[in-house]
Amino acid sequence: MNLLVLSLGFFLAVALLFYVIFGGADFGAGIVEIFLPKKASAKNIVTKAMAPVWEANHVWLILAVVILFMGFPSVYLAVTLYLHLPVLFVLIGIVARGCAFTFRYYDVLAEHPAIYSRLFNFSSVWTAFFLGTIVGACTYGQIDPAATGYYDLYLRSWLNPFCASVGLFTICLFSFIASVFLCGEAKERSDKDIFLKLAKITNAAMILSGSVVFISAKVLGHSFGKEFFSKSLCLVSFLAATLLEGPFWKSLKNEKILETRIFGVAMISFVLFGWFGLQYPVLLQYADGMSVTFQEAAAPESVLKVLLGSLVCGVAIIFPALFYLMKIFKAQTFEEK
Amino acid sequence: MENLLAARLQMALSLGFHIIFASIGIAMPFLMATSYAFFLKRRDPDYKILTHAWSKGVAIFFAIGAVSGTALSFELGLLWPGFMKYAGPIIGMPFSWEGTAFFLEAIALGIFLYGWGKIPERIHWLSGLAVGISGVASAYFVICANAWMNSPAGFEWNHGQPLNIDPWAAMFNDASTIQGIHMIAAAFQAVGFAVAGVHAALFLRTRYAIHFKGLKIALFIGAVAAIVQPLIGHFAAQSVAERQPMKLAAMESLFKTQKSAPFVLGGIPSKTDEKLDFAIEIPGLLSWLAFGDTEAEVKGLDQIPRENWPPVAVTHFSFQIMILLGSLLAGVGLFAILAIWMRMALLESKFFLIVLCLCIPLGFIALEAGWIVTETGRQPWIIYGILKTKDALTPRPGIGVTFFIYCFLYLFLTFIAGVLLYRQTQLLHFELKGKKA
Repeated sequence: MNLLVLSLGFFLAVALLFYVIFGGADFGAGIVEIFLPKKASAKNIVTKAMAPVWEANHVWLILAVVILFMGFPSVYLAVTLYLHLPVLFVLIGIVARGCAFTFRYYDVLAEHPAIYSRLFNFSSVWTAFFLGTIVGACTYGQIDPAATGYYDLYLRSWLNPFCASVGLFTICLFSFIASVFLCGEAKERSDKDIFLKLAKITNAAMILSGSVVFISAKVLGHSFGKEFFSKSLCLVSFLAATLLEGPFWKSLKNEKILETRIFGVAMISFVLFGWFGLQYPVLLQYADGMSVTFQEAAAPESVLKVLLGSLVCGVAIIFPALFYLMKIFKAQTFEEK
Repeated sequence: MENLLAARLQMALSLGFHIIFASIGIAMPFLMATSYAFFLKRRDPDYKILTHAWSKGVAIFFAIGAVSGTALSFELGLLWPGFMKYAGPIIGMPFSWEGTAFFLEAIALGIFLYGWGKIPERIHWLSGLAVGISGVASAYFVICANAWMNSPAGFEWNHGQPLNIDPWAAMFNDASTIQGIHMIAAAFQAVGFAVAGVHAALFLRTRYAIHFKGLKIALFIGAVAAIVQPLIGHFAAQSVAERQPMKLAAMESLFKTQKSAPFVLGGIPSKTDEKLDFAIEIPGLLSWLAFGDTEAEVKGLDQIPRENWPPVAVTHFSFQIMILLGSLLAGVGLFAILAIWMRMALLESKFFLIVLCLCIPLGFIALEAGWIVTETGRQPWIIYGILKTKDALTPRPGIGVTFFIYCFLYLFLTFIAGVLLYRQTQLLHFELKGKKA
């Protein structure tokens, strides 16, 4: 793979990683809200934490989509054709979620504010699930362009236990990262305790649902586990994520907010690196062992060069602005008790 | 419903819906920044309240605009993979720039909406302005993509394959700048008059000074945009005459190529009889407007085979609606600027306030009509002269279903947004009444 394609692959990976960390935290906040006690203060923490940053958090998805349709167009086309149903579900979820959250915040005289909350919570779970489904389908390798019939073309590749297990894992992953961030948002003792407990529970859920992904692959006769543990990047990532559990739980116990966030983000980053390592150099896995690599899907060089230049400039502009946003609203990260 | 029609309608609905909220995102920040600047300078608390009230509206509409925009980035591929196959690599760059600009906008909006009291006043004001500037930039970039569809550039088309792709030439094509300016002016015009009209209605009902202050800001901005817009539109039409003569022919219902072509007002075109009935025709004016010479030849629809004709009636009616409403708003705008400058009492009169109320939807109707002109006028092409719309369609079935889902969803959201705005206004009046007492 030449350096240009590799660089763009790197940016795509970064966009996806940041979407999982920041967008995932957003989705997760909507999910864990379901499990908060009816006490208003705990629910308000979610709203207050999300309000200034949620729109910015989701732009990473658009960035990933643009990198795909400009830099690796055949993959964008394959996903929007063969996986058009889970993509449609994700879109409905994104629209419903963003609106429900905003409406809840700004409907000042609502008689039934609970309706907004239910829609917000449900669409958070829904969207996270189908995002995971799409990822699962790209890895699982049942997308078959040569198939005939609606079921084989548009349903079989994602409507299976493996993809569902990845969807479930994604729900747990997002809930985990959200809980980790929300620990630092709580001010009162009782609220802090709620989120610390949630962080532990969602961590366990993540490990459990992650195992289910491997188990379901085994049961379905897919070589997912074998492939995963035969690749060095996957092994290293797996080990690193596992080893970080120890320090993570310790920092949770000692309520060190900054450390908890660092370890939490590091752990899910390694989960994602494991997925990247499994896929590389393939972007999309088709049926019958066919696949398309980064190199094969890449647009002409003149296009890639311009895309890379735009991304580098974009990052140079965005990161300072993003840092400033976080500095204003998330400064408590750096306040140690 | 037949797939191609459903796809066209879904795209039209998604774009038509999104652009209303995007326009608000483009223009409202400048209204807010103006009101906020007045507060910082004059320390009149009404302007602070106004800024707060407007920012709540912006937050609501921005969220809907953002999510509907996300949906569009996928819908391009979901509905028109034959188009994205080529357009993705060739015209992807403005989309990536738009993404960056939107990212900045979202960040700046977060800072502005939730940063009250958290950062110094001037920085806070700058963040509000930054929302507007990134919004305008974002609009320009994404319009470059649409301009490319009308004026393809930056590649050599070789038997269905694009060669020697030059993304810079593609982005900065012959239509980019004029389309960009025309749209940006349209956003300010539509939003300015809509906001002014809403405040006019509220002022009529409550007579709170804050509504009159808000009205003046919005009206001034809308009026300036409305006054320059016909001139910008003229240059846009000249560009179309040059590059897409069949679009112009459809706009004017010009069936026969002719010298000294007339500019028409109104009229009902008949495709079968190939004539335009009941129109007011100004001889030679179209030739003069398009080419600067009343004797110049303007190409008619007879230049191309019938199956390649764009929809004449839809394009023609939309064009007539756009220029009628545009002229009306320019007229009202001209009077408004005069009245504001000369502090005429007529500005506060019931008559003028009702005129403003009636103007509320007109800018947006003109905006949508203009988009219908440019999109249907380009048919049957999705990339002008290169790729036909029907050849870009996705092979999958069931688009009728997704069309109805989006219809229902977007209608529902518009309704809720309206309810929310109404409740915010009720709350504002409640607070103002409390202050008065």
